[in-house]
Amino acid sequence: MNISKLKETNDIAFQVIDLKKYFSDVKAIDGISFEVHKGECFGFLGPNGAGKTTTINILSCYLPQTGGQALVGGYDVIKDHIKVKKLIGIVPQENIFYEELSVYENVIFFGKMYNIDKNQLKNRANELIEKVGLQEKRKTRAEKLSGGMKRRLNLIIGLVHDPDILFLDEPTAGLDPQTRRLIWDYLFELKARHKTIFLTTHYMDEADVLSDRLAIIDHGKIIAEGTPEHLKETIGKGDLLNFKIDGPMNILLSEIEKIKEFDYIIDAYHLDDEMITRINAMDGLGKIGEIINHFTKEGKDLHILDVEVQRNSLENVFLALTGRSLRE
Amino acid sequence: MLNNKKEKIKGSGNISRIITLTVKNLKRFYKNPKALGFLIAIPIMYYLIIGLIFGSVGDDVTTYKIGWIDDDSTTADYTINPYFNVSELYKIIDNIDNVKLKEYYSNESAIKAALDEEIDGFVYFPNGFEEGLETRYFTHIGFWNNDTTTSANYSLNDMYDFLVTQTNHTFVFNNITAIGLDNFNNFQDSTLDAILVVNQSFGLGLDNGWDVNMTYFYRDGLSLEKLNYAKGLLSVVINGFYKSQSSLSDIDIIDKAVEGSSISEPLEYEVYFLQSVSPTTKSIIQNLFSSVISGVINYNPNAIDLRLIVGSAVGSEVNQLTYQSAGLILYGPMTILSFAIIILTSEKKDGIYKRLASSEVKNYEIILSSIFADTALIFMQLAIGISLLFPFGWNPVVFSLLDAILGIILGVFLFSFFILGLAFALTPIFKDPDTAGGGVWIILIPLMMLSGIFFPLEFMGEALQNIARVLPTRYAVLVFQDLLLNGLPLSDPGILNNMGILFIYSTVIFIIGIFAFKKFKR
Repeated sequence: MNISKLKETNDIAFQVIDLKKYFSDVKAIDGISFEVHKGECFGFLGPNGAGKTTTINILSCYLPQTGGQALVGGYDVIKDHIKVKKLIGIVPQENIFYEELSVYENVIFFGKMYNIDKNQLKNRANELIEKVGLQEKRKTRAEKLSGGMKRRLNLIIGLVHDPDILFLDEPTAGLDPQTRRLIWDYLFELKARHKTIFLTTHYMDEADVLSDRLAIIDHGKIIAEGTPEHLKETIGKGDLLNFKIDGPMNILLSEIEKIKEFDYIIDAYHLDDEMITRINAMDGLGKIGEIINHFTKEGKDLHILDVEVQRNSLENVFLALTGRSLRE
Repeated sequence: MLNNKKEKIKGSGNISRIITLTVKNLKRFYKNPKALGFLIAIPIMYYLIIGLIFGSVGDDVTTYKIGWIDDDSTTADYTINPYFNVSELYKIIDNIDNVKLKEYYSNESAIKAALDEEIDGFVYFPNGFEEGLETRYFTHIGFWNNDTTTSANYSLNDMYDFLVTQTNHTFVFNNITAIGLDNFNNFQDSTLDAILVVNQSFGLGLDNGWDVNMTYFYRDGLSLEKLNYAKGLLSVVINGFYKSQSSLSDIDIIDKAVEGSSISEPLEYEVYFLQSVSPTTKSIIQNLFSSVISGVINYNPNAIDLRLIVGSAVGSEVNQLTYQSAGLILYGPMTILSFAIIILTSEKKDGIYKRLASSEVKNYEIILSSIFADTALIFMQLAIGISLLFPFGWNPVVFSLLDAILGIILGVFLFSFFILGLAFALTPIFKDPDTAGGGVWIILIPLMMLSGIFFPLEFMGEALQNIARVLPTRYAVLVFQDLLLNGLPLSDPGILNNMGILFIYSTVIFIIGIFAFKKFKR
């Protein structure tokens, strides 16, 4: 990739090129490359120790890489780190702020680290505090906040200088559904304002809902990249269809064997105990009419009583790619 | 949006950020009651205890209680010196303000009193002590006329009589001319301290106006001071006698040690302590007895009264607290090392540096803000120390108030520079606040104990004093000693020299510290 042209490529917010980070013999990141466009929310999934946080640390100028290059806003994170820092905001995995200071003091303190105009900063701090529902805790010391409130404070500290590129490292980990939803809503709002978001998360639904595109990293290498839909369509166990079918059992079993020959069918079998015929199919929802037709053609004496669809998920994609669940 | 960034950012803002960081550091202290409490309580406790130990509040002067056993049945001629009487020695020592004597009549009863903590120790005068004093007071000289010539004009006998009379306060003469050689051969076993020999041709020389001589044979090992005193006295008296009779001769006193001889054993008296008595107390009591008793019985000639005056070389006499204050006032500032390292390691542990790394804050801004905040705390500790030492009798001897204030400020700044350099250097070693809280004392204790901050260096052995000389904290103590104890001006070359050494130490440690800390932050 021609780096000199990168600054002229206006739609790229940041990119990494053959990025490596080694800690002694441990290859935390082993030659990853990707690019994120302006206004895009890019999900970065991977199990613990896969290299997600290390990637964020490099992109946020905290850690120098061992090899390769990282460019943010067209600027090299090593050579032009001062310019890079003006563009980015980081919301780390841990709650990082001063426990002894109040909510307002923390937001103001970190805002001052960006030399924001005093009045502008005050307005911005008040706006953010209100936005995440902490206005009543404005003067409360951070150590007195609940876990969810601390996460919200952690989030707005990263946003106080209104960055164009936001690195979110597990922003909703351990939060109650209500707070998660509140943060999601705010992230949707940021997306609407064309902020670029780099999101790591353990929650597949979160990545699915928020990400425009995502990459899956494992053992320091990117093993898949694309839109959530594309990944689900092409990787994983497909959709799960549970049919309740009435009719002669020998015919039903015969038809189950036949349907296994179809190219989009991954698996099909009958659960005697539950009286359910389970079919695992790629794009099962799209193929549901075809499957019903297969069982109910004239002369088979089979009748569909009920059908239930479990859509393919990113969890399945992740499982298929890494052989383990995201939380292992 | 990226292009609008400039609108939100005004100037470089470095100073503004440093102020914000500094204020934040101080806020973290005053918003943390425990940390603030420790920070203030530790020096207050330290100075209160030190003040009570060494201060002059309530006239609490240590009184040394000492037992006294006079086991001597001999007596001396008290007209020579009334203090040859052990009872007189008792009176003079018992009169000393912080000494309380109590007489005992056996070692057993004195030991029991010591075990019961009634006395710190006891002094014992053995039998023969007074007689020994008198005997040792005089120099016993054998007079041996070894001259075969005789003067027709000057009588040797008259000179001898004159010599005996004129020196009877110091010398006891014994004419051994009849058995001179025998005495010489048995000199070591004799009761004589010296033999004065009239050399050959002494009489003939006198008649002809030649220079003549005598030889003063003395016991080997005699101090030069005593030898010169004896020779001088003999020369003055003998030359005086002959000159008064119009002799033209000069009489020279040649001195010569007798081979194989040795001086008499010193007169002994004893002092006993329990093992639990501190070396300092032992040393004080030993010095007290040795100086007072030697002072009153060992002067010569006895017509002159002697008085020992103890004073300070510069300024007025100072109390113990003032003497130690130079080190003491550095204790409070020294404790900031622990707090500084705990803060630096906790900010790393809490991820603050990580978060700040993504902001526009620069390394030097974080370092400078730590320096400013910690220096403010160091001056707070100093103020606590100074304000608490005064009520306990701290009475600094200063050249001028201005010199003292400027000197303290400059000295504490240099000391802060060193302490904070050390904090930055040690932070990567301790890594986390829990380890730092305890581990820092491994560094603090030797720096304080061996530099004069806790104890005066004089309490230590030579080896430890040599170690102290390479510790940077020692130079800070020396600066404050010169400013606050010796009353020297800030412009004194010694003070400037010590400040220079402290500055060099601080700079080296600071540079190492900054490099180590920058690496640690990541």
